[in-house]
Amino acid sequence: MTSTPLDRTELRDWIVRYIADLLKIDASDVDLGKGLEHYGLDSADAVILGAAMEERFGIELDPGVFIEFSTFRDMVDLLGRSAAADDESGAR
Amino acid sequence: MKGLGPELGRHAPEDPFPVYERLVTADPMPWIDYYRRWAVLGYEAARQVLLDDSFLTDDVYWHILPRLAKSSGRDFGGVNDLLKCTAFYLDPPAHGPARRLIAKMLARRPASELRGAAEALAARLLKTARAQGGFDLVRDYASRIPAGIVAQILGMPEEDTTEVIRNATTFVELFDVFLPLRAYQRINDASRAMVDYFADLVRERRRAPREDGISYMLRMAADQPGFSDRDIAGFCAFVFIAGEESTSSFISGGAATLFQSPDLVAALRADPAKIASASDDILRHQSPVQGVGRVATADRVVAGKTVAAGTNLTIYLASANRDPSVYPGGGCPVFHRDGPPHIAFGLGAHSCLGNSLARMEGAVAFSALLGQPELRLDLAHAVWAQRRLFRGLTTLPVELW
Repeated sequence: MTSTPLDRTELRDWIVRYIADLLKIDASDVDLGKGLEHYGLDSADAVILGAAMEERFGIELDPGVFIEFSTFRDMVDLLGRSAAADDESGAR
Repeated sequence: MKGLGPELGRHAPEDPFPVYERLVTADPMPWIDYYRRWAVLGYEAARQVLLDDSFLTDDVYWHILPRLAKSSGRDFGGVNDLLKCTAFYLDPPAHGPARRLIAKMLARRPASELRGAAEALAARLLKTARAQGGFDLVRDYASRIPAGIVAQILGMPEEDTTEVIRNATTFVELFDVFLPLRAYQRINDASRAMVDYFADLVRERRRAPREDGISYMLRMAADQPGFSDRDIAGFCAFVFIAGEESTSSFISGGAATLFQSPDLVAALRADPAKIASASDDILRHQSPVQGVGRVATADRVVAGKTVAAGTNLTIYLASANRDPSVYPGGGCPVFHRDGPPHIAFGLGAHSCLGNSLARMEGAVAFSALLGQPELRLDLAHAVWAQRRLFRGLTTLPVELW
């Protein structure tokens, strides 16, 4: 995993932009309280989205997280937390 | 049906069978929304789909790989090259010539003829292990026997197998499809390394042919202008992966199961003639290739539901092989089982060509282990790979004295 904690705001903004670009909708219409399914995206889309997040944030992201966390907000919370935990253990 | 995504795609690889059993009892073919595919869990439904040629191999890689390459700006040429030669991912018209070439190459060395070599190999591995007081059943035994036999068939030096096994183990992660980018990169690197390795051997055999599988495929390919030398190298890699990885999982997972059944161990030690049929039931019980993908090209009714053309399916061979309506008490291997033949080798157009080799290697491997009076499997320290559709142990320490 990454050595720097993921910035939740940055992660949130990035996901909103990604979904908006992908679906050609306005960023203000992306609801983080919803998940992939709501936007008609499936597991194959999750692989591509996960890969883009890996590249952008330097993490290894199992696309399965998109089924375990039914909303983007839950996922942002989890990734923010686990990256912060990694950082603490790295500092020890 | 949203809940089925996590249940089937995210279950613990250590023991997926309770999940299969619960699901198949409720419905032999549920729809999994997240994966946008049918999960074919029941024996009859699995048989029907496998035997119907209107179902082609899963097209999911051909959707994902180009998108992944485009979005990440990375090259997946290595995995593409190997997939093109992976016969169980090929459809007509490419599939027939590839399958025939591999089948003819394998037929040169029948399992009955290779049994002696497998027995000698098993004995040698156990002798080394005993001298060391123990070994890793996966690394030092289960993977070695099929790798050694494939090496003999192809004509590759046995000492080269260690590196190729490592890459083969990485390649089979691909079965799970929905993987992180880094897994795709690992798989791509491993695929390229394998094909490059065999391409060097192909080049050598081109220059100086021998009486081996590689030279034979080169000779055959001369009459079939469709195959390049790089393709022959790809077929070698595919034969190695298919021969080594699945049989290795069968032997290691099977040994773990066998030695947890003291009654079966005692029965087989008392009557070794039962090993072949017990080994076959262990294979049904393990089903290392847990599932295979297909896509429908025509509307079909399966398990009372319409599978529309264009939809994907995963056929869970492992679930079908434990279908309680077909194999009552199927959770325990026995030395004789009534009931229809299991489908661990698949069926139909893509049924496993190494079927008799795998059966022979499994029986030889179990027989040699049963012949060791002082042997203890450290099951508490067994580690299962985090793979779901190509299930297998990564390590299983064994004490031997």
